[in-house]
Amino acid sequence: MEKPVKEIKENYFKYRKLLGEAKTSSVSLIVLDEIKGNHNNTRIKKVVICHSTLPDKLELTIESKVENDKDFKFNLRAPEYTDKPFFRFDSDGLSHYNRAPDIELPEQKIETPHFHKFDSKGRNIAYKTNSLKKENECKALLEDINLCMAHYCDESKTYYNKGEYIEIIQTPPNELNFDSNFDNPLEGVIYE
Amino acid sequence: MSKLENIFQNVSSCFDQLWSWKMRGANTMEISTPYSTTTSKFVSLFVTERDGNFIVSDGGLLNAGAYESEIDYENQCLLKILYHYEAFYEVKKTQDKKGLKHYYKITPKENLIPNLIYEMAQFVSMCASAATVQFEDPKEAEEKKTFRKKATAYLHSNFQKFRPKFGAALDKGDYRSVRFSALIERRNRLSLINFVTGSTPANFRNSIARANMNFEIAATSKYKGVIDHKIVLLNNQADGFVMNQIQRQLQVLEEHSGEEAVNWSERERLLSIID
Repeated sequence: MEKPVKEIKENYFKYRKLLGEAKTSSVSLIVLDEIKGNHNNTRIKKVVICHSTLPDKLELTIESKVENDKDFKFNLRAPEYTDKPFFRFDSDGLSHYNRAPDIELPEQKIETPHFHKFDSKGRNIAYKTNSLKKENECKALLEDINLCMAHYCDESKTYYNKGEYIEIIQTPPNELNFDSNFDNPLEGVIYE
Repeated sequence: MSKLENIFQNVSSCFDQLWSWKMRGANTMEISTPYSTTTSKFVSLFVTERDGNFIVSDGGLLNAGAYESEIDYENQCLLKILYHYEAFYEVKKTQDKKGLKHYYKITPKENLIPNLIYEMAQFVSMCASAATVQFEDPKEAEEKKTFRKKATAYLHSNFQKFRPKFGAALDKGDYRSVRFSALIERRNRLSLINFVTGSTPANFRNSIARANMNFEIAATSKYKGVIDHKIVLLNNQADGFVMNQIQRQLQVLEEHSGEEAVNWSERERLLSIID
């Protein structure tokens, strides 16, 4: 079962500081020039993030599918605190089940794109911002990874140089862009 | 309408609201179902039509880890559960070009697509959930997982040209349950690699025994003539690596495999053995 994260539940004060207070990126531009181990179809890059009041060294990881640049994830981690990402954005993928008491069943299903954070019980909660709930705004955001990143920067208070949005280049300049908007997992697969 | 009827209407309507869909390319639809997993994901299935047949597939998501539930192919209890579901729902399997397993069902009758969605959703939900059951001591599970990750990454980066298969079975027929940590095929010759580790000496001995048994089965199988190496990659940095408590078992393993085990701290030796 997806268990509540003990470290977050036991020290929620720290979680609120981690997420709620300003964080600074060591770089302004992130080029996804690495491939994720064991996932040849995923570009990845990790950068160091500093927190304004906590001494923890934080990490921001960006992942993006090689063949579909509309499918990407942003993760913020604090490895000394917990091994789970403490704040996440998924542009595509499976819907999340927010299994919490007092939420009516239809509202417990949160489709992508969505953010993930933790509540005071250490439960992983997916949510949509107002921009993600509005169909047109959401569509516009997904067209451009940098608009999503800016939204992520504001939601997590993570910036470069006190207020500048972090930018991402998905395909390194020296590589061919294989993006083919490949979002159909059945394409090319032989079934009988 | 009575209160109880209202309750029924509400239940039915709430369940209905959990269905959603989106197009994936021109001819495939992703249906997100009301079935969920204990990893807090809703099961998605993909429907397409090919040559007059309707296919309902998991899209490779189960095998790709999209449900955040890694299937441990060394766990015989888990495998029994998964094979039970596979057989009961008569689920078929195929592989895509990236080597991802796709589970699916097929029908020529459009009116039976709901049946396939119903069974495939149950199947995916149960498999993804069963894979997260804590079958063993968490410390042991962590030890195995960490070593598997380290060793897999090492083999992957050093033997990429031979396209090693990880957690692979000897074949998909009679030997589907005889799995090795890694299989390397070169010029139709096979090298079998087993990772051996344990958080305690007792677990370490079990790991040795499992490796030994699988090597023995391979050595008496129809593949015996094509096996070049039976390699044991030993985590000599694990808490369970206490030489005087594992020595006898290790000796038996080395006698049977005919090769000296490779210690993790001397993993470079693999380069000369396999190259």
